[in-house]
Amino acid sequence: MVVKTNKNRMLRQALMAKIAPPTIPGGGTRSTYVTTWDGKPKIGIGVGGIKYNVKIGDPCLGWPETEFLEPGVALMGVDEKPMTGYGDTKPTAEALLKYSCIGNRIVMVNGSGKDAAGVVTGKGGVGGTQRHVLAHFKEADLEKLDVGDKARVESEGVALKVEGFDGRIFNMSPAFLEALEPELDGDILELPVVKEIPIIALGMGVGGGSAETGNWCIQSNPPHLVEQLGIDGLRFGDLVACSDALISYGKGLYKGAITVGVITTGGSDQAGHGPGVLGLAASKKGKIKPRIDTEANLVNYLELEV
Amino acid sequence: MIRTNKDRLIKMAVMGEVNHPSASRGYRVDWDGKPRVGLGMSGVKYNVAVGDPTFYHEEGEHTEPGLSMTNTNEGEGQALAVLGCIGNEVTAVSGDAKGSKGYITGKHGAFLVWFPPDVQEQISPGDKLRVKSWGVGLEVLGFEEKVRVNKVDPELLEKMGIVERDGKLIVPVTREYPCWLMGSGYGMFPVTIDYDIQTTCPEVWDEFKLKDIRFGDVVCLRDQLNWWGRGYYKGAVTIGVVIHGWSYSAGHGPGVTTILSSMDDTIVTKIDPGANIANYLGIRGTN
Repeated sequence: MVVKTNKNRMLRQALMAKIAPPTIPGGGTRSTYVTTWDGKPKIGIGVGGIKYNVKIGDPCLGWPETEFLEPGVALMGVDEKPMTGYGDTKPTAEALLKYSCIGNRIVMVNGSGKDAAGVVTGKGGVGGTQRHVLAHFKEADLEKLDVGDKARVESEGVALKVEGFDGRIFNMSPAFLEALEPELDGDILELPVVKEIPIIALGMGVGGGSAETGNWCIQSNPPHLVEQLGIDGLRFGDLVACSDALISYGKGLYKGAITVGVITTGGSDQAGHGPGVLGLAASKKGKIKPRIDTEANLVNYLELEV
Repeated sequence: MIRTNKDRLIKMAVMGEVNHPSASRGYRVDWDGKPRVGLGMSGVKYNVAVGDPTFYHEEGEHTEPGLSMTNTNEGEGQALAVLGCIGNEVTAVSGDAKGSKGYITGKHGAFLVWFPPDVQEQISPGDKLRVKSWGVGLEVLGFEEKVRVNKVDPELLEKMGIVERDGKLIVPVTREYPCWLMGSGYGMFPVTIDYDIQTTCPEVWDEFKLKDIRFGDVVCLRDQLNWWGRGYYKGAVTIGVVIHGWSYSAGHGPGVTTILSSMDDTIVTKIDPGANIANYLGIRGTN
């Protein structure tokens, strides 16, 4: 059965953002390296900025020297400064982070790339560090963009509901939700995912305070865990189902719960860290039926131009 | 009895002060969407101490037993965070309790500190405290490569009933918990912060007897490695001390400061209901 939503009641509003500069991982300006799970120093590039050659659909693991690699373009609040650790986000930036939904249209409003259009593809950051909205632009437009250029996000999707579904959904534009071709069987929502992820795999990000911001990491170390989980092929934009995990009013263990999310950021060699999952739909009572589909990736739902 | 390198460790003074409770203007939201006030962090608690149950304090959120100590000067605060160890001696250096002595009992965002109840009556937020920090670099002789020691005073470690036998360290603990029960603080730096045993899934309360957890309990975390960070490692064993109370925020619960960790079964546990630092330090709870 095709789902009915409240999409005609959605507030559509403009949010302002700017392209975030590349930053080094948390730990402050004096910290030159992060320490890997097995005690080795690492620079940890990849957060913030404009990536010319890493985009949605690409592998999220295996990029040398990277930590939490963000594909495409990273956006932040217009009044924000990059954080060197945990910091307070201004209310305007918090709005950008919370109200942006995957599938929302983005338009550049100044710079050489003025009028170029992009799409929201995810959110970066765990805990209170470097929280970004991530965007896809086509290659020809990427060349015109500069760090600091301003963008307008056409936000729509907060409070989206599927009639009859016994769970919650978030971070999705109505068009993205429809593109997933979800089906409702009684109060159970069926959604496509590439893989199911067990609770033992989930690490940093647990305890985070909301579904709309912050990722929950799939641990990408030690190597025997990656092998055990079979996650070496995961890509940016892959949809996954996390068992016994509830991303709803925060992120935590809940037996029998299912959360479907999307891989938005890349792997990590720091203990307990790895690709970040942003929640899309969750049911405390397990009322989501994951439909395994190896092509369940944002590239196939958002019509991303390359 | 274990032997350590304690004679090689620097003992130095670091400063902190008793902090004040803080509050937000609105409600915080619990794991299921219910508004709550949430209190118990920071300041001086007269009726919650190490040895007491972590469950249940009305509206309690991460309740910190005894008093809470921070240093708000950024650089000094980081030094205090790294250098202070559970079991370190604390001396009040200002206020009505000047000259009185207590112990560090945990490291949350703030340090948790125990003073004798009659002394604590005289302490006010803002009073200065001096910590005789000792423990960074601690190793158990013969286990230098196998067991990482973290955030524990050498003399407290010696009092914990740990026995060396056949290349193993046998550690008394109250209970064991699986890796997937571990929540907020996961992935963070063991030297400066705890992580939580999640209490926001009522279905597992009975299975793991979570309501029985006491402040100061020494517990075992399975398949958890706390060496250069904090995460999953199959077969690893981590020992920690319960430092703060329950929570209703998703993914949170009683906090554990981790003190010993081995990548394999070098650490062996022995269940002992008396495995609590209140017993080892000779201090008493309020009930």
